[in-house]
Amino acid sequence: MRIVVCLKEVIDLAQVRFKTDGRTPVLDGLPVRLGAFEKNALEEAIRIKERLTEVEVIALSAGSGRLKESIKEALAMGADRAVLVLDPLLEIADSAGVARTLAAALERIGSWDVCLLGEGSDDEYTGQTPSRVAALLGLPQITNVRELDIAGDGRVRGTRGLEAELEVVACDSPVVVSVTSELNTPRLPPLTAILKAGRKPVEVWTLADLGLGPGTVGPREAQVEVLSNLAPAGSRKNQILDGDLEAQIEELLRSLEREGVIS
Amino acid sequence: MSGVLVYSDRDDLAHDLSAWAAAQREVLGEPTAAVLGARAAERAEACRAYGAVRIHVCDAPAVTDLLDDAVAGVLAELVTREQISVVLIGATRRGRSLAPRLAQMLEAGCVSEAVELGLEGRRIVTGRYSLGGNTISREWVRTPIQIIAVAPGTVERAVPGAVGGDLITFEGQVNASRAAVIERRDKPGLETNIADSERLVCVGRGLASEEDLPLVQDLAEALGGEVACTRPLSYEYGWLPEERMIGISGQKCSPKLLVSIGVSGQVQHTVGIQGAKTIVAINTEKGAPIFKQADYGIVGDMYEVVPLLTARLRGRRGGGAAMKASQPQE
Ligand SMILES: Cc1cc2nc3c(=O)[nH]c(=O)nc-3n(C[C@H](O)[C@H](O)[C@H](O)COP(=O)(O)OP(=O)(O)OC[C@H]3O[C@@H](n4cnc5c(N)ncnc54)[C@H](O)[C@@H]3O)c2cc1C
Ligand SMILES: Nc1ncnc2c1ncn2[C@@H]1O[C@H](COP(=O)(O)O)[C@@H](O)[C@H]1O
Repeated sequence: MRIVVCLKEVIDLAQVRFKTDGRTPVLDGLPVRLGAFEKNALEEAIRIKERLTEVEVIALSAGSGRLKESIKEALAMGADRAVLVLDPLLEIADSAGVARTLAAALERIGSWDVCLLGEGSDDEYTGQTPSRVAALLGLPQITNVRELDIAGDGRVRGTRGLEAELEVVACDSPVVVSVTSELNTPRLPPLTAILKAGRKPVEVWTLADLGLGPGTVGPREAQVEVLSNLAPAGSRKNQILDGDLEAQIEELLRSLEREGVIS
Repeated sequence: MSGVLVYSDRDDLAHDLSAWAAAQREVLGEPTAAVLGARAAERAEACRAYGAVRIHVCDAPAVTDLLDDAVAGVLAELVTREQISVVLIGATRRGRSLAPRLAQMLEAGCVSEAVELGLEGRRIVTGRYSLGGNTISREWVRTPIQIIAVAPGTVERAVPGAVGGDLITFEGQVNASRAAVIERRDKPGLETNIADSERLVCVGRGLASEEDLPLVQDLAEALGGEVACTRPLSYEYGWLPEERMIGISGQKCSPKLLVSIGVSGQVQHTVGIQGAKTIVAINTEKGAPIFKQADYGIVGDMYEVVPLLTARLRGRRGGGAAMKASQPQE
């Protein structure tokens, strides 16, 4: 059995700073890492590999050159090999472009049984990629999966967390599955695994290798035009109370009363 | 533009979106709706009071499970046949993954969770959280067909109007999914509606153990509010149900008062509290980002601050009880 896990490299969002207007984000030079829910997906694939025999886990990612470093974490966690699609166009591609790239890479990887993705990426959290990849490949999708069972014969069962109910969906492979963080707690790879990760195979493809280019992936194809992308205008008081605790609480209650938010 | 198609697996959202579309009819063209799945005919009947001029009804067995690929197949056919240019979908869990599936089938651009929706000239402009919630991306879909999934609470609650709209039985091809729903389980009862609460006490990993929950429950009670939490307390630890979880992947709230306790203030969480009128933060770390999101901050241990705050609040309310609470008991 072959499981492909799609992982996205994201910037560390806790470190986003803003220009002096307080609203325009500055993203240059921020550290990158693999997305959170993608690690849940990878952890699950590795557990399946540990349970069943002859499972190959492939980490697939589309992005820019820095991925060669970031992907080592996935290999250290236990992916057998990685496939990277690297192209400057991918840095500015939209969901449709990324999905087209991943779908083409999945076709080139050839026979696989389950493709796992995160429910949403750390940064954009649109959840568009899993659905678009599934649609492009004409495969069923099971999204928002919090419990996953893959049998040796390739039968997949995913429990989806919906608003008011849990829904168990069964499907024969191949199938596209997106997962949430309830699934598991991703392992922290031991140092020895991190050292060995550098020796695992990493294949690098370009968009051209996949028959894709500026016409199909990239900004000129952008389907959605961004008019602005700013932090909401903040207007919090940011008042840290001082004095002894009793005094702080008295002052707090006076302020809350004045604002009419407690009765 | 030649018309809007509205769909949601949650009927009230479909009604809201339908009424919104009907109000923009001059610009966006005729509003139509699709009602799919179990009891579709009956639910479509209820939909007639919300402004759609045609309501397509499909209860074919292939769509009763509401699986994304089957539903997208029906909607795609309606879009083509009715020359629809805008599809509005309720951004429930199902809606969020249905919208991009439909978009890909139609080679269309998609916004999968709009939290703002408005018309600027002849364009539909949406807002969605971006960069993990650090920013709001305002955008418009420029493909000939636009797919927009709209978060609950984004447009006004619809009030039923005159009953109109023709019911039309969907007669196109319905392709079943290769997947199948084999079981449904109710989640443990939904107890509360965080999105509409006026006062919230939101607790994070500063809470050391599940046994300590009464500490924050007491404060919530003293405030006349509800307990909410960050993602780890619900998803990772299971101490509180998911419906109390606030953030980009949980509830968005807009209470008058939110008291945030032992929460670091990561952006994926704070995006959900932006609508609060007043925010109080209690955290041991002076540098915790939550203080930048707060109106009032107390730097301190929640195990000391919260009981004191609760006692003072109870005291204020009960007049005489105030004395009691501030005096040593015994
Ligand atoms: C794609 C994605 C989506 C996400 N969606 C959400 C979401 O919707 N909602 C959400 O909440 N999170 C979400 N997260 C997770 C989010 O990034 C943070 O990890 C999470 O919000 C942190 O929760 P916390 O503040 O409770 O815990 P921590 O970050 O661990 O913070 C605990 C805080 O408690 C303080 N503390 C400790 N002891 C005490 C004490 N005794 N008294 C007072 N303070 C104390 C500490 O100083 C610290 O600041 C998401 C993450 C990703 C990647
Ligand atoms: N560039 C990418 N490379 C690999 N996987 C991706 C990429 N972008 C998105 N994904 C996958 O799609 C999921 C959902 O992302 P998104 O659609 O951006 O919310 C992520 O959790 C990843 O598993």
